[in-house]
Amino acid sequence: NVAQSPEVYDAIVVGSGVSGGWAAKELTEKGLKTLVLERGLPAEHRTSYITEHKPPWEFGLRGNMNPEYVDKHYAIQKRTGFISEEVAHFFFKDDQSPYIEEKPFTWVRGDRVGGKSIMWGRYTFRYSDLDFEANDREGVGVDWPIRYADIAPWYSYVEKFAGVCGEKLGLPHLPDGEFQKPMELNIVEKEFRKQVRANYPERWVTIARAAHITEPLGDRLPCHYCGPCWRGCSTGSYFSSLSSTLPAAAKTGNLTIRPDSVVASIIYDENTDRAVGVRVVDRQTKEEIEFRSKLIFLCGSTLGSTHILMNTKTSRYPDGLGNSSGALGHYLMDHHFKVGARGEWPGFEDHYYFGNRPVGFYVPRYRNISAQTKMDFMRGYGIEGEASRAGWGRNVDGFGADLKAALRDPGPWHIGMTGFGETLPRYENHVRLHPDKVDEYGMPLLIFNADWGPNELAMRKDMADSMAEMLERCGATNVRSYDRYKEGEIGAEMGLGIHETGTARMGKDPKTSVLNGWNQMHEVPNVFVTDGAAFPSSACQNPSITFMALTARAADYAVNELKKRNI
Amino acid sequence: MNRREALKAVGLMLGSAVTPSVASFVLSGCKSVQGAPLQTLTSDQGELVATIAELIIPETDTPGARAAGVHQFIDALLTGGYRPEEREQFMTGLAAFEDRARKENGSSFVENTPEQQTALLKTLEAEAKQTRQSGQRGDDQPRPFFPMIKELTIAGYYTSEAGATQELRYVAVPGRYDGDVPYRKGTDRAFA
Repeated sequence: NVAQSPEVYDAIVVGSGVSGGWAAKELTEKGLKTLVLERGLPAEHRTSYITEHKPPWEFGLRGNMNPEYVDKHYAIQKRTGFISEEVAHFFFKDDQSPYIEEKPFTWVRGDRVGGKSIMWGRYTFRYSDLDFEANDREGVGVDWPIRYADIAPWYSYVEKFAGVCGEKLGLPHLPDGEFQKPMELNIVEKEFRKQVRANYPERWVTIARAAHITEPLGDRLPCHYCGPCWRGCSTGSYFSSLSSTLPAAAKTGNLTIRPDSVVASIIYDENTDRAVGVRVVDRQTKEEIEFRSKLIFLCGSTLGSTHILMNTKTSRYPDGLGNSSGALGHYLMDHHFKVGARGEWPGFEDHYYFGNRPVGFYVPRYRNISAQTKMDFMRGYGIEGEASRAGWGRNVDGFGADLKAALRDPGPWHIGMTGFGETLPRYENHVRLHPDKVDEYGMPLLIFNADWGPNELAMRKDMADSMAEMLERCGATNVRSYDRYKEGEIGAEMGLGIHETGTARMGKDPKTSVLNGWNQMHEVPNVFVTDGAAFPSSACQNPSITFMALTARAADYAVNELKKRNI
Repeated sequence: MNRREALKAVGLMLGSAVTPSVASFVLSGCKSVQGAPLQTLTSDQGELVATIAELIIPETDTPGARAAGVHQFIDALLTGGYRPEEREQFMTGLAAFEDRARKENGSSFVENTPEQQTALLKTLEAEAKQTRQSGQRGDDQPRPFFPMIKELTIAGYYTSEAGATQELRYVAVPGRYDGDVPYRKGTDRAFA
């Protein structure tokens, strides 16, 4: 007993996060009547930011965030450390749609229109040909079907709209973009930068490039440095679907957003070899509804999109839609992190900073970028870090007026760094459908079986050692390195980087890949997958700006193909 | 308060013994519970906690822990933010603390002289430090009471309105970032 929506749309976009928001904007602006299906609850710019600018003493404790409540609803999400009354309402309740971890995998999900774009990290770095050529050069996985020249204009296109601040460095392996003026390093970070430049000719320290605006952009205002961006930003000072792409899409009059819509599968027509729509389970009523369209953009997050394709089984595609290659669900990647070093920075007691800067510094990749920087592992890592003065939580002995007087002043300067490492695509790192367990929407549960391999573990050792060595040589004291990874345990497990990619990779050959160079399914040409699922390799840079650029590029291609009646 | 700072701060203070519920409480912010009736602590226990907290963060030229409602914060945490076993640990520690005051000083801690009160806290702090340094405490043994209540007092105080805005500096919307401003000790204050 399936209801059918009477309206036929030009396009359906599944998901409203970073990728879905861009697909919605591009497709509606090109004149397509577009339906955005989002499994999360409704959300709107400004009114949904219920904790924005709320001082700490105004938060209640009783009820919501008690530990038993968190265990029940956020057993997975809490591993990130983000689950608090500040922001829990934007995260997915794990008990709604559980999954199975044969090996630990932390699957972080958003639960609102806007997806994870509401509380994302906002760091924005282009990939380069060092990344796009790596698989081919090293004989790993499949070659990217595109090169930097194919995507560069689309990076520029999305950066201008999203608003990205940053410093140009002229590095070939971390290409410059369309930047608003950079945020500022603090005085100790500037000192660290000076020392790094003096000691290591191939290394840089720069303020992070991020999707924050430092100059007005449309009706969005520059950052006011309040600090907790994850609560939402009424001035639209960082890019999110809610502040940026969805309002632009709505302005066209071509947009319909339907929250509470769990897309279970794609409707495939054997006769025309095309998708004709999607099957939705309404999250509130559990009613099944079919929506029809000429074009489908899957932007449901890396594993959300793959889950839908796997759950679309037809006589022609018994192992998932468009999966003759067998690559669907395989080559799952993330960035491995929770490894780094920290120390104290002596002196500068009469220096402080004002304002809560929303980003830290970044050390671009410096391993395997040249013959001189060759290591005994492949690929490399980027480093995120920050210098700051210790606050009232630091360890000060004693009690009474002396303790209070000591904590009135900020403590010593500290500097800390964490690496984000590239992960190789490996067939054995996969998700698959459980043969009979289903969630409350009838979707088979995903089984995760993925872990870091020898290359990642070798890289992690270098990450910890190299960061500690760099801090010590540049003037930090009491330097300690750390690595939270323990095989089979929670700590630095896959997924925690929230940079998961792969599982429906692009490639030149339909025999070994799911998508072509336009994010279009080799086998079902009116279905496009433009989130992280499409990646044949992970690079080490934060991936969201590449989701945006690939999505805008694919939308442009798809609309042209539609006009030419090729799809 | 900057969440990242708070997390870092709590992490630094508690080291590996960081209790998730304190961390999440600080992250979630801490309601001003001043004047709220106690839910878990009896009024005698509330008075005992307020007395200890005030000794840790006393009133000076700015309000102390009692005026900032730290005992109510601790009560709220025990009621809604602690797991049963964490609550049990605190309550057992509190009872043992009071027993010791009576045994050593012959009266309830709140009736001890200020000198006796300070001396007992100093003894407990030294004992806790020794336990930590000698690595004597096994995983199954409870945390010493003094560091536990000190940590709660500090977290509750500096996230209270009085602690954040009168003792420290709280700027909700700075409007700009400056990576190098002078800090004059004795005049300026840390940002909450």
